[in-house]
Formats: sequence, C-alpha cells, structure tokens
Amino acid sequence: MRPEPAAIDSRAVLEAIKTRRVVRNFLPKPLSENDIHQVLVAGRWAATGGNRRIHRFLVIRDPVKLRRVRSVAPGIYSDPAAIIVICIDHELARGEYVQVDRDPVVLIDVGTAAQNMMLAAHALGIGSCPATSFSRAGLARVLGLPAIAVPEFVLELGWPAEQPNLSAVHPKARVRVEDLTYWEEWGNSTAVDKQHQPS
Amino acid sequence: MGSGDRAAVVADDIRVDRDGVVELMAFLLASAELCTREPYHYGSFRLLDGASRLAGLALKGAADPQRHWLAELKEDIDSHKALLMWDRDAYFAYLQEVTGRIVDHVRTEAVK
Repeated sequence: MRPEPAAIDSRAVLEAIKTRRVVRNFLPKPLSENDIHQVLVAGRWAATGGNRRIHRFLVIRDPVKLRRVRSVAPGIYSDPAAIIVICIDHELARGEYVQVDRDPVVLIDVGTAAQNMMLAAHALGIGSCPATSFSRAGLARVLGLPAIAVPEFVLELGWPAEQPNLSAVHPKARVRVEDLTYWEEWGNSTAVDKQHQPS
Repeated sequence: MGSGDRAAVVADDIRVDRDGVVELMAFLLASAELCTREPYHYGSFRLLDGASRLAGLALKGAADPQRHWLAELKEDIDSHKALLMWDRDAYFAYLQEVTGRIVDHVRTEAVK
C-alpha cells in the first residue's frame, strides 16, 4: 500500500538530502547483511524508465575481493566495508527491447538507484561514496562477471571515520538553487510568481 | 630468498610486497584506461595518487631512515590531493611544491 503523503515527514526527507556527504574514510568495522539489505531496498524502490528492471546489484564484502576491486578502481581511495556494484544486465535489456548503447535512461536508472541507496545509507548512519572511476573490463574480470553483466557504478559503504574538512581550509562558494535554475525560459533566473508580485 | 617469500628486496633498506606491486601496476593500467575518457585534470590526480600508493607500498617494508620521509610524503599527498575538487589553484601550487620537496630529498640523499 502506498503511504499517504501526509504520513511522510518531509522535513526529515529534505534534511537527509541536504546533509548527505561523500564519505571517503571508513572505520574498520563490518556492515551486517541487514544494514546492507536496507540500502538495497532503497535501490529497489528507485524510479526506473518504463518500470524495467534490467539492473542488478552485486554486493561484495569479502576483504580479498574488495582489495582486488580497489586495484582496478582508482576512484576508490579508502577501505570500504562493502561495495554495491550496479550492473546492467544486457540479456534482460535485450528481452525488454532496450537499446542500451543508445538509450541514456539505462544510465539514469543507475543514478536514481544509487542516489536512493546513498540517502538510505545516510539515514542509517552508514557512510557512502560513489565511484565511477574504475576499469569496467578490469572490474568485470576481478568479480568474474558474465559477459552480459556490465558494471556501471560502484557504491562504497562503511561506517564513517573522521573526515578531512577541506571546506574549512579552502572555503568554496556554495552553489545556490538560483545558480542552477531557469524559469520558463533559458537564462531567466526569476520565478514567474516573483515577477508578478505587486511592487 | 625462498620461492614462497612474498617480499622482494629492491634496495638494501626498502622491501616491497609482491602483491602490492601487482596491485599498483593494476592501478596504473586502470588509470591509463580512465585517462582516455575522464576530465583532463584527473590524469594529474591519478599520478599524484599513484605516488601516494607507491609511498604506501614502500612504507610497509621500509627501515627507519626511509620510513620517516615516506610516511611524511604519503600523509602530505593524501591531505592535499582532494584540493583538485575544492581549490584548483591551490592544487596546482601543491603539485609544484611536492615536486620541489622530493627533489630536495634526492639532493639530501646524494650528499650522504
């Protein structure tokens, strides 16, 4: 059953979105299957184009495998307790008549699942870090993936350790919503209802 | 050294782990592949990160005189490399600074 919108604590949701940060330092402490399962559930509920389910999540917790993954994934700098590899299953894609090489939706679906998982992890107190800098061929080989499974995204997970606060040393101007948004036409940063407000 | 020994002597005061060497090679090769499709500055970042990983690898089997400067270099790189994402000018300045630092080290070693 769908939850009624009124039952959702919108402030909690927005707070989770605004306070999530990339975590690059993890404690040497394992994640339980239950912890990871809750993150996976969030990925399962992500929006997908056409409600197709052509992605598969591969969970790796084995320290030996994680070490090998790191060697072909220069984007992983620390030692996560687990990773979730989001793969596109090309056999399933063919069955759904998806043109994987031409349809950007398949990668957008990777992103929506990943964002849901990062938010769920954050809500559970688990740190997460997205990694896309890896050799697809290398990762597929390390994980023994069949040719139909192409890894597109690695989500690092672990209990957060102390994080370096570079923003304190090197302050960077925060990007505002206004910097990213145009209203009604390209280049117009002012919302229509503000334009129409009586002076 | 027996065939089962996982370390190899590369210098009289630094031993490196064989698995670590292979992993570093894999990192460099994966980085070479990534450099063909990632933003240009990431190539510089991979080299810097590679230097840190090499320092870390050497550090595991280094004797005291080498240990100190390797640890210092690794910590220094690791605390500055993310500048690429925060302050690009500071990152570029750091690249010059850290190169100068290793040249100073080489000179100091040469006069010993």
